[in-house]
Amino acid sequence: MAKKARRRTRAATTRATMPADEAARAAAVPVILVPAGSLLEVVVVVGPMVIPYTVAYDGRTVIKSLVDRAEPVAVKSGSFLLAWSFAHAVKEWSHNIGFSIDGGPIQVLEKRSEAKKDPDHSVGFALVQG
Amino acid sequence: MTSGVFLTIQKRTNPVAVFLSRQKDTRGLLTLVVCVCALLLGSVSPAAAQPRTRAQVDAAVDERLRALWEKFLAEAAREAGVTVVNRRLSGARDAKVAAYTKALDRLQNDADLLDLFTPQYVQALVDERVESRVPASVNATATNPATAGLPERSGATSLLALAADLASLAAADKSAVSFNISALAFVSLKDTELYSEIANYQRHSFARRFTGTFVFGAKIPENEITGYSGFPDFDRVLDAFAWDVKVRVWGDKDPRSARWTPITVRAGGLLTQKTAVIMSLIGTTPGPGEAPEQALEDALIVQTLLTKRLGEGVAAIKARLARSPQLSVKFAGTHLTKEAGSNKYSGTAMFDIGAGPVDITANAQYAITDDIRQGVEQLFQTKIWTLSGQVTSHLAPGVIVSGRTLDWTIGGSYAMFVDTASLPVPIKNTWKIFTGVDVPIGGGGRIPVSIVYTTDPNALTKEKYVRGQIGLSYDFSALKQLFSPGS
Repeated sequence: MAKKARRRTRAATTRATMPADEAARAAAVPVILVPAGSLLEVVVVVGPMVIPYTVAYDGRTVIKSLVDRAEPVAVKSGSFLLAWSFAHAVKEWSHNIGFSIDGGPIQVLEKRSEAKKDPDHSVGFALVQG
Repeated sequence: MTSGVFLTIQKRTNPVAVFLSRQKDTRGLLTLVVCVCALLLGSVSPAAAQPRTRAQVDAAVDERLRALWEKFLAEAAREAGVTVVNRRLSGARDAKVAAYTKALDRLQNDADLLDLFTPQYVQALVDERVESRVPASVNATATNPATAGLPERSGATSLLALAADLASLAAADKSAVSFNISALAFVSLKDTELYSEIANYQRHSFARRFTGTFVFGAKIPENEITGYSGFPDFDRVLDAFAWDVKVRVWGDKDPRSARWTPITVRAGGLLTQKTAVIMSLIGTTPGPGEAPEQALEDALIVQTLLTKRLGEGVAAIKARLARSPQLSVKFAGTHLTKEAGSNKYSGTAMFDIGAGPVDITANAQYAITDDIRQGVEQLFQTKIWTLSGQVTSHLAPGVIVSGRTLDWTIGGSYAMFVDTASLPVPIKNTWKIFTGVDVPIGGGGRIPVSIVYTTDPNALTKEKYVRGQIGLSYDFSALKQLFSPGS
């Protein structure tokens, strides 16, 4: 009991060093658990684009394109980041990025559009645990 | 050594150049033959080492990015007094931010990365086929005579608009139905579902120089047709049919144009690739005694820094597009459908250019209007030159609403009648000056407020408030968006 309480205190102290908004962002980072032998696929659907978007995993470009794409990710054992970057310069832009495991339902990681008055650029990431 | 770095080193120490520099004292034909052979070999060997496919180019860029990032981060960490552990920094938060900032700054200055993107690579990106795709529908901003007014932007496309790409063939407003002929180009396209927006634009770049509109059922005040409010019944509303054809003769501000590909696809593509690859390289392994979310601190710091840099990069691309000049000419006709013999024809030159946060638009129009108010046999013509211009400043970016500006416009126009002696009534030239602000509000709306001074008081009938030769207009209807859900 006493040990548990001490751990909680330590965690609270650690969190206190993090700015509140950053702690909230950290809590909101998507975590993708990929069971051994499973296939992780990244799916991107975009509107009109002139600047290619990029999706990268552990320092390697998975997708770089101006159009809709779905590509498998060679997941490594351990925790690595799946990151994406979108930049828009044409009207009526939109982008959606999601993932699917073993062909299952697509889970949305980020959905942005000009119609929703979102910023015209975004950098995002998810934690992939293989 | 990574292959990307290897390529650069190979380029800088070209074996052909070394060979030639060492053969200054060789003699005669043999020397020439050897040099030619060496040149041929030299021109072939780097090409053979050059990555060819998109995947190979991407991999080469990734490798170089990784090598540079590891080098720059280690240097910056040393200077900031922190250490690199498991691809993230260990130390005080402020020191981490300083180190990541410095490493990213150094990475930004690496010019060799762009050289890896060959023209073939860029074209392959543009030409990539789509498996399923629906072309975006865009509002047809028709050149409706009931709404037209000078000055007009030179293109069917504004800075970043797609107004030229009219997925809808017809557009309707309160008084008229408009058919846009530029939409015909889209109807004839067979590959809109196969290729990207940018590829389609570039394949039909010549056709996109032409836009035009037919407007049926418009009701237009007479002074809008004659260009003068001195005639009796100048505000009489008449049924009209109108058409116009606009041709872009110089420049192209559309970001999908092939002329912008080096900036958008090549440089912009490097920007997003660099951003995503660096982001994905940040370690997330918790240190001793760290909570899992604490291990994400570095990733969040880098995300913030990269987002800022990406935003600056996009803004720079847009600013470059905005600075480019564009000239269009437009020919138009208005014909009264219930009164025979009354026609108006005009030709207009429209010019746009950007200068920093300012957009400049200038128009010159010559219009001839047939008038039969004194009978068909006594038809007379009003001929008028109209010169107009406006300057729009985009001020206070992001201050009122994130990502949007307060737009301040100032401009004027001068209408000069030609051959006034042949007209049945005395006519004076007129001019007006105007200024206005568009205040952005949440929910995407704007509140426009404008004031105009003119030597032709009859031209103020559309203003909300008129006093003498001054008119004031405003529209607060967008305010309701502030109180609507989701705004």
